[in-house]
Amino acid sequence: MASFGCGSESNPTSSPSTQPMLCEAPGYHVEAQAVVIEQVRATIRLPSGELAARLPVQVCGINNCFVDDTDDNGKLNVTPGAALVLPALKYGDGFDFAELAVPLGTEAKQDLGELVALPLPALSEGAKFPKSGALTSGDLTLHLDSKGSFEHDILTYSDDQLVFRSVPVPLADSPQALPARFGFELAYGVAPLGTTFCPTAKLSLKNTSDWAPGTRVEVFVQGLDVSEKWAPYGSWLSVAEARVSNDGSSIDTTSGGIPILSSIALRRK
Amino acid sequence: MSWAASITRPLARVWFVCLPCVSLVSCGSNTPKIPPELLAGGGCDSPNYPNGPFGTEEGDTLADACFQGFRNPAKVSHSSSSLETIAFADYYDPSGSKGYQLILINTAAVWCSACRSEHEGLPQKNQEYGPRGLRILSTLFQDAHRDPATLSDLSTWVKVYSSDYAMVLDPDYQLGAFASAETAPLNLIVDARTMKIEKKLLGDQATVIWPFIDASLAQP
Repeated sequence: MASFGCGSESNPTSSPSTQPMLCEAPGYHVEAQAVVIEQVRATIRLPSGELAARLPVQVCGINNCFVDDTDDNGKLNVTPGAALVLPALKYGDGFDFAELAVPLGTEAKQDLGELVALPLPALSEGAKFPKSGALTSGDLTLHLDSKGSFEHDILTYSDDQLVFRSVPVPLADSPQALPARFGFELAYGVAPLGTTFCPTAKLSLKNTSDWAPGTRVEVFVQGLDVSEKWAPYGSWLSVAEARVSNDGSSIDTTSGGIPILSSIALRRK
Repeated sequence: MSWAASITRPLARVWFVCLPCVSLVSCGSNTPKIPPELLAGGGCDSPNYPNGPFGTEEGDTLADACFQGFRNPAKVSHSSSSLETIAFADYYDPSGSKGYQLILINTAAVWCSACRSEHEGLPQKNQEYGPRGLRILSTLFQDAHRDPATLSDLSTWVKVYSSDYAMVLDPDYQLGAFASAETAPLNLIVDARTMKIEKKLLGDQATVIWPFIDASLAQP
């Protein structure tokens, strides 16, 4: 996905500009020891409580990926039996479900308990990407710079799938992917994953938690891409600061922005 | 000698296609039909290729296999008219007359983010090691939904990663004998003079692959 950096002339979805802005991916790769992961187990449910049968999952390190599906009872049992660098379970496929990552640590055999897969809105409800301006799905609005560009992951998504979609992530249902130690209070899954913005996209969201006007907020994205060009894989990266609007209706970024479409989380400062 | 070593060459094609029924690709009932033009029709006809027995482990001789793809995607249009049959045998160079010493055979899938990360660096490695006798051949076997890779996937792949090495389709996952379709990438380093597998590595083990290739190419 690194080749999707801003300023490339290879992607027809980039907005036209006489002097394309260049955004170099910061890169977050650090050397890490491989750990042997023998088995990863979990049960995945839908928000309704129904078991999520035949849901694709991946156990990926930055060096190797293993794919599987949950069984008819929503159970996953991935058995890599391999040395993985920064292993994480990724569940949700980024097409029908929001994708989240659970870092796996160093235990060879892990049972992650229950996970909840969050269905994304239907493609027909997604918002087409304008060349610039606002783009809204659910609670989230992205603001694309009038002189900027964006690039989609055209290997993963077909043209009709390149619409913005978001879904709130109930934090209580996803402690494995959104650990309590981060203090997150809001989270969202999005699609299409991997779209990069140059410059970063401003973010506004509905103040669904009724935070007080003027409250300062931190915005994070989760690294779902093993290339770690825009965020560390499996971890959360602070990418922007935001503030609750004076009328209390919205939370708007004040500095920084969204560099890549990936799962988003927020906490008050 | 591996369990597969007693297989003789005429059977190799059948063996490669049918053995990996552990995968969802080759034998799954929900597998989309693969357009025949994306399969390497006619089989491999390389009379000078080493004889069997063949195997899948280090030290074994690699059985020949044929694919449809682009030998050098940087020099052709990425349409069906540019597809050609590419075989492992094309890189067999017993006398060194072609200038080939090592072949890096690599599997890739669109769903596999580790594969994609690996391919970001392959053009640079090809530029660095190609003149010293390395040839890279990568096989794209599945798309983002784990369905067999198509020409559209291949064309987009070589465009996104600026591939300048042989990049082929393996929609029926002929390399399934080496690793299941549930894991990727696989990297095989093969001696072009003998077609023996020197290294077999699951995953992008760059810290093993490239020092090994560098050291091997330094030998006469």
